[in-house]
Amino acid sequence: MIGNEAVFDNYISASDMVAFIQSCTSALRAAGYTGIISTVETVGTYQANPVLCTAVESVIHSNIHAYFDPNTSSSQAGSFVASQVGILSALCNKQIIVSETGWPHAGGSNGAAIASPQDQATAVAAIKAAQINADVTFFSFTDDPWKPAGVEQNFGNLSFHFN
Amino acid sequence: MKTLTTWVPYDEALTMYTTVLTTRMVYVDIDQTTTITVTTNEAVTTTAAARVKRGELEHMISQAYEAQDDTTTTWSMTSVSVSPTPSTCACFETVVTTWVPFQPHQFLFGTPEAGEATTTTRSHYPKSNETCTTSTSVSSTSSAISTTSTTTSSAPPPPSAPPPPPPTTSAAPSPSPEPAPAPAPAPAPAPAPAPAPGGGLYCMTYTPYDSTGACKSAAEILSDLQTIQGYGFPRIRMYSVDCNQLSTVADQAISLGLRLTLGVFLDSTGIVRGNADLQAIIAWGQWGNVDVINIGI
Repeated sequence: MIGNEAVFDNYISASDMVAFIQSCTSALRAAGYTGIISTVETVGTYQANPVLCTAVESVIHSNIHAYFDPNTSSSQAGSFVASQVGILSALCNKQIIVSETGWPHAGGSNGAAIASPQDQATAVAAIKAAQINADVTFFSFTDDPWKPAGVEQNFGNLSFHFN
Repeated sequence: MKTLTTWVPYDEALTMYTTVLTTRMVYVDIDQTTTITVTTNEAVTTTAAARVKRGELEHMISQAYEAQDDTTTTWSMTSVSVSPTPSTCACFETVVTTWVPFQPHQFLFGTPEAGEATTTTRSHYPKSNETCTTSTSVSSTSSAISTTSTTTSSAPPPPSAPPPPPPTTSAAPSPSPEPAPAPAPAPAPAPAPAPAPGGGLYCMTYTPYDSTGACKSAAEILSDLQTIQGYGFPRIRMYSVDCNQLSTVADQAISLGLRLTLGVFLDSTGIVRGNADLQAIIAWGQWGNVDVINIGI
């Protein structure tokens, strides 16, 4: 989901988030879970609160949506994601996983970023083709009309670009 | 009606010390349409098999174990029945004695008998296009398994989806090496490495809501998951545990061979919601199928 990052949304302070991550990590390890434990914030939130980089053991997640950068057109979406991953990697010095990326097919324009079916196709193709130093999670399987009205409803239906 | 006498939860930790004294059949609830009725001296409950497995039945079994050291308990489980009856279910395999569960949604049937061999036989998870042997009877002797075998096709593959990758430990078709959901104990203490970047599609997000925000049905979700898998994604990312997602999304994704990224959701309640999600995930605990748990999504 876009903008649901807990620190970004002021649901919790960065310091409380660090404590909560550590608490969860202890509980999950005690329960026998051995996989990755991480958190998800915007690149800007990590930059403003680099302590979040240190709260996780090995992997940082971030939702990176090129559409919300008014200087990035759909054809530049892949290079934008790659660039943001590079920034985050340098900041946190940990492995990065992109926990959301995509492009809306409707909802208007944000500067150079245009929401249209063709731009969505262009952006998804650009992201798939880009040399991104991270695994990438695509968003979203379908449109999300259950969300509040706005462009965030319109990041599906990515099936058009994968079937 | 079969009496379920031995059951092993799919839990790597439990397999370390759980020995199945006798196991006659493995029922794989591949269609997830099975219900189990548990009758005790206190209550009769009928619920979906997957829920029983992680709910009442698990609790009852734990009570039974505890009862071994507590002669004052009055608990008793008088019968367990399964619907539909095994002969109509998607896939059976006969196995011999000690059995290590390989996937969720597997249930064991049969009558415990003494003096059986202790050969370990691992069942395998049926592939969607596989013909399985259906066994409809179990002998009452200690040395032979009498089966009435027919062949039947298990659940048909989704129209647009390739067969799910076999959950073997050999080279998987997924774009990167991943730990198979093997039941072997002694998981590595270090966090599992994430798949290497650049190896193909990695993950698709998934939320189980319809257009109004209501929870999708398990059948709708299964169809969605098959579609995502058909696109070539080996993994889904979940955001929370509402809508009974750990059953309807996570368990069904596992049944298809998908890997999971889970989320502990924080909302305006701060860590109140987060802790509730965390405890639900821990209680669920299918770690062998989870690559990532995000705290805050």
